[in-house]
Amino acid sequence: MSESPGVQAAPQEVWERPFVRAHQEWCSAFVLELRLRDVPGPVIGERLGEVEGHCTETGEPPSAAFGDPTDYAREIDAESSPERVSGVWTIAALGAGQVLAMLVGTAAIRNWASGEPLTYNLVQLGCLAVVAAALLCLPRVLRPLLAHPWVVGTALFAVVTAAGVGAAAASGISSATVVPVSPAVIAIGLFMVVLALSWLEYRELTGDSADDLVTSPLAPEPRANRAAQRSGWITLVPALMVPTYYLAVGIVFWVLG
Amino acid sequence: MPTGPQPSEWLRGVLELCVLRVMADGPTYGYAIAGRLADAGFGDIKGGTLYPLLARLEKNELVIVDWRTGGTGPGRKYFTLTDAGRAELEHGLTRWEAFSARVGVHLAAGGDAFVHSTHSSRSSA
Repeated sequence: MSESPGVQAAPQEVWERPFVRAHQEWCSAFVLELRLRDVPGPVIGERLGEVEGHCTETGEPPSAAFGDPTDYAREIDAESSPERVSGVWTIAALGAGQVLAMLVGTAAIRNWASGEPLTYNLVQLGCLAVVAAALLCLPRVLRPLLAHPWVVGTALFAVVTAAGVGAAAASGISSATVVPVSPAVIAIGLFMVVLALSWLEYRELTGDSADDLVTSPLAPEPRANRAAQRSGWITLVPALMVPTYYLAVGIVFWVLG
Repeated sequence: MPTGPQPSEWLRGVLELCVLRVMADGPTYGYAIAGRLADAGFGDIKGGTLYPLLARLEKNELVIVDWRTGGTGPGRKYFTLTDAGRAELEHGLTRWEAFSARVGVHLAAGGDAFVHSTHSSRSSA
């Protein structure tokens, strides 16, 4: 036998492996189910490594040896150690904070440009709370969203849109309370808040990419480091999305105001 | 006497013990375990049945695992029995022997009773 005991392969993302590319549909469904169960990336990689090692030796496709990928993921997870990651909730909270700050901040820019004070009434505050709740519950509705993207996605979009329309329609209510701070201070202050939250989100995402990638314990393939090189840009895009949108909307409001 | 494959419910009850027994001979990996069980007449144990069981043994610290490179595939996950695993195997063997003896006695007695009652009903007819 030619095995060398105790040899640990360098971490390599499973998506680079020929076996995973050859059985993309099965492997993606398997990884997705374990991700939805908050199983850490390296643990998922180890489970996928077991599948690859076994199928390579038997010559069977994973569907023949392990059955339905989602059912198998549930079964193997039920028998595994209950190790879990919780970063998705932190990201959801940071994202919700960014969007709320952006909604209030861009409204403040519009009022700053037109020289009016920023006002809010109870209906508008309620609509903001609905948007925040919809964003915070995203990790919880991820599974139904992926299973029925049109139905659940349309429902979520409808809720957020209704909140936006409701907030706009309620702006004429006379019982609005004037926010006792200058719109300029609110607009600039909330932009700083958005930037700070973006930085925290970027840190959280890069921490994930270092510790929570779905890495394979099997012998690495030549294209090993592409994912690591890519991950910096991938994590930067979602973190900078809200500040960029904040600036763009702010400029449009300022020009139109 | 041809016996054919055993019902899957029977195998499910003793598969863990059989796997621990295979591991008692030294460090081994999933495909080799499946091969040993097939050679022993248990039939084709699918990966979807075997690996959740191996994961449970790992979770319960009855085995330690390590990945080894080489061989024909990209790598193999080896399972080695721990002291707790050996103790579990010993305990399981003792319980299995007691259980199978009990089942054997019961089935033999039940068989005798069946033969006896059939014979009696034929005589009275």
